[in-house]
Amino acid sequence: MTTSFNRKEVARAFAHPVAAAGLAATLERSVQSAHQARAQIEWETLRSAAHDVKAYAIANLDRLLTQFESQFTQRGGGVLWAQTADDAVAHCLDICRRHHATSVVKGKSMVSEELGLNEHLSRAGIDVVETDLGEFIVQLADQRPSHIVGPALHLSRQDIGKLFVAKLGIEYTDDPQTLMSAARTRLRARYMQAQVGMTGVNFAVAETGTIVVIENEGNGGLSSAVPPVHVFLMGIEKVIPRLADVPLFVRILARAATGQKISTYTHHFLGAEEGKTVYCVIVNANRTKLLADPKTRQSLYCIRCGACLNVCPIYRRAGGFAYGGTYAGPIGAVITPQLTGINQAGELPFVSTLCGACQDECPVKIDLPHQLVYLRHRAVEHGAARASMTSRGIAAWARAMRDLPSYQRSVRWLRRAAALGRRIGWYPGVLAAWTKSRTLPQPPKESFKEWWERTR
Amino acid sequence: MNDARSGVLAAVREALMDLNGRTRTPPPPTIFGETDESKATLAQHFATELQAVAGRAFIVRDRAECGAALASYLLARNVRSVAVQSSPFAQDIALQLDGFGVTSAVNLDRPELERCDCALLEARSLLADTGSATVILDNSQDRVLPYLPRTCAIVAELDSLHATFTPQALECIADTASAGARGEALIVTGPSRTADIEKVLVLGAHGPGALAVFIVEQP
Repeated sequence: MTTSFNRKEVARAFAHPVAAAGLAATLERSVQSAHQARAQIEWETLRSAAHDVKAYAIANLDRLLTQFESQFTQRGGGVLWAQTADDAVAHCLDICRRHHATSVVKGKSMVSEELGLNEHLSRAGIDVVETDLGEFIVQLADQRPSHIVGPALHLSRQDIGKLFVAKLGIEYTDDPQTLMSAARTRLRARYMQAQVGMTGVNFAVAETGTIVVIENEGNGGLSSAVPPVHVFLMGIEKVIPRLADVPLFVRILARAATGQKISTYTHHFLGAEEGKTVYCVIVNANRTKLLADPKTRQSLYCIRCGACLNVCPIYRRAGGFAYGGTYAGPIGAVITPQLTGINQAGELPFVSTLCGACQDECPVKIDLPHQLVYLRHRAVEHGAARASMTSRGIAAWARAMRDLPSYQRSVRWLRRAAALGRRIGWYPGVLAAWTKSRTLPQPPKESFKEWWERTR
Repeated sequence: MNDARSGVLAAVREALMDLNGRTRTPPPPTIFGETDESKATLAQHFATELQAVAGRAFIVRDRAECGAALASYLLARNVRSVAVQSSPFAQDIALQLDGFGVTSAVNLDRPELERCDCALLEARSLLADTGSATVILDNSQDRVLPYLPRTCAIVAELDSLHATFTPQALECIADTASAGARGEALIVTGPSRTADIEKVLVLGAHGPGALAVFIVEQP
């Protein structure tokens, strides 16, 4: 899995301003819907409350996870623990083998994207199909999701129409309703054939062992209810203390993600009914690295709503693939370096303007900008990223200000450089991009000190 | 397996070492309270909200009127066959559906359920501010009912209607959980939908393309 900042993808996005503008407009509509939906409730009070519940849950993670395990097991479910991504994949493969599964249907699961689970299952001869429409589209296109909530947002309806002609053999159409119907027909048969269904988890309730899955399409319900075996995949951070906390998160999640008051389906799964086998795979896969660092611990509060992506000026222009990993946008820039290693993804925290819009939008009030700054420091310390132009500029300025002669020399040099730049109209090297779209200021002919000495 | 379990938990405990004095008391849960609106007002509110998400609500006087309204709705949608949840209320309403092929879902296999035109379910609670219905699905046949047929009809008592996610509204979920029940408590709000293609809203994604809730004033 690629996890570093993808410069080629950024260049591609900037080379197609119309497509980029389309993505930005789509995301802006999401933001407007979210703001309208938020205005109807006491948003600030609820997000503070959600922040506090998540803070408690993360601070008591060991206890809540074992409580959840105990409750889930009492309801006939099996809990499998995975320290690494490989362990989680091994559990899934083992379940499939044990139940003689040759066909798997999958609801949305970001953890499974993180694990590269589809590839592993396919290599083991298991036919796996994504059932969320957006995920189904990107699977057909042999791509990764570009957005946590809208995996195929980077594709136009025309792109999808052509894809369905090539992969599903239907006549070309760019009508979303017809395209959805084609996918529905194809997937209905797959639900009926599948021996195993897999879904992600929005919240795991420690108190009751209930697993809450929130979705709009009904594919999560079908993936869970139709096959005889259901596997939940969840990161360790998904646990919340009580059933009474669920309404709070249900109210804020849909509003932040899509601007709905509530999603169409809020499932409260209660273990295994008669004739059903249910597993929950609890995955660490480096989440404890985020947990161990008090400065990044908050990122585990994330409820994967995608709101921070929708408002991020970088994401809006560059799209999700620019981030290289499973998680895009500001939250991706924070968690990916920790999950995959700062040396591999150290540049990601720099993919932000630090404007703070992500923090303002976050329904659980994660302080993303400060975490990005902190991770920038770490990336530079580890040699995973070069110090930014700003940092290097400030370092040079500090050297210039060390004593009076240095300062005077520097100012003289800068004035000459500025005058030269003004004459030729541009600066070379790293300053070229800046001068391409801005008029250089005219430097004064003499310094204040020179003027003072001349005129006093 | 035990190794993996203890390994993950040890890693979590080690990561939380700096929080030795961590609180053991969770913050108080956020409680959403009832309003002083009458049930009739809430029912209108419910209907408006459900309509906003492309569903329909019918407020009917009693079971007989419910049966008639349901039959009329189903006829308008060319429904011929109905699969009914194993709930006494839904089964009783279904008895009034003359001229339709009505079968208990527990007596149908998956392909038969898929061929049914409509699912008939009972909601244990209704939430007015979102137009949502809570159904309890405790066996494998009932569990697929909300998704497989093209149309979903839900019957509920007016008394089960609440302003929002109040503790009373969610009692059915809490009771189901605390009674050690298996299966699923589902909050459903309107027909199945997606906006995964250019954010264009499409109904009937994987589940039903139409959903109606019948609220019975005097059940």
